[in-house]
Amino acid sequence: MVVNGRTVSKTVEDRTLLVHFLRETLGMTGTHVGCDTSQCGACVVHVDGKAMKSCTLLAAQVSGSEIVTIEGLSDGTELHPVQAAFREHHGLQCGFCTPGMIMAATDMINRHPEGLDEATVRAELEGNICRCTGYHNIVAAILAASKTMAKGKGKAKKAA
Amino acid sequence: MGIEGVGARVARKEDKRFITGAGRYTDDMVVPGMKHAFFVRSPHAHAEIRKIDTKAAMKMPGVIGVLTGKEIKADGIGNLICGWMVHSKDGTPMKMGAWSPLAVDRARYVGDAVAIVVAETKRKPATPRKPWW
Repeated sequence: MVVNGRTVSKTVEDRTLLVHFLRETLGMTGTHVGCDTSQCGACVVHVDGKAMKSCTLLAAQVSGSEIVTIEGLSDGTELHPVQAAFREHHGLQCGFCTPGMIMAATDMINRHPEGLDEATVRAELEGNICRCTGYHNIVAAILAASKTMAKGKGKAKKAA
Repeated sequence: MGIEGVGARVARKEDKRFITGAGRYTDDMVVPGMKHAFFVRSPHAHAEIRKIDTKAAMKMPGVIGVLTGKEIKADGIGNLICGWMVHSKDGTPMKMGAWSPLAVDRARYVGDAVAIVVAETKRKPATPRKPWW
C-alpha cells in the first residue's frame, strides 16, 4: 500500500489491523487507538480518499490502497487548513482524539463542497468522541476550515 | 482580536505536535526490551479472593510473569497513598484506607485490579484481536 505517498510492502499476520500496522509495523503513532471497539474515532485515516476507522480494517484488506494519516495530511511545510483551524479555535486539549477528528473533518469538508452548517458537522462527528474539550470548539474549527478550504481550493488538494 | 496582555488570545505551544500526529502518548513509546503489563480485573462488585491460579497464564507463550496482591504485599510494596493529606484541626492525622494497588483478600468493585500479567508482546500470538486477559 501507499502510506502518505510512500510505497510500503510488508508481510504481516492475517489478523493485523490497519491501525496496528501503522503504529507497530510502520512506527507511525500519530493514529491512535482509543477504544479498540470502533466507537471513538481516534484511529480515523483516509483510505483512497475516504475517512475510515483503521481499527475496523485489516491491513491486508486495504493492500494496494492509498492511505493518508495525520502525519501525511499537510505538505510538510504548512499546516493543512483543518489543522490550522483546530489550533486557531482551540479544538483540542489533550490532543488524543485530534488526529481522528482532523481526518474525519477533512473528509467531511471534501464531501460537502457546498459548505457545512453546524447541524451537519455535529451529525457527521457522531463517530468521533472527545473527552476533554467538548465539541463546541471542534465544530467551530471545522466550520472555519470549511470556509478556508472553499476559498483556497489549491491548498485543499492535498487533503483528498 | 485587538486585546493585549490580560485577556488576549494565546496560541497553545503544545498544539502543533498534537495536530500533526507528533504527540508522544504512553502507548506511542517504544523502548528497548519493553514488556507489556495487563491488568486482570474483578468481574464482581464485591468478592473474597480465595485463590488465584496463575498456572494456565504462566504456560501461555510470551508470558513472563503473573503478579498478585499477595506478592505485592510480600514484597513490602505499600498501599496507594493520598497525595494531599488533610488533617483534623486538632492535629489528628487523616484516616486513610489501606488501598493496595492490587486487591489482596477482597475485590471491592467491578474492575478492581486483582492481578498483573507481564508479557513479551501486546497481543497473544494467533488469537485474533484479543488482549491477554
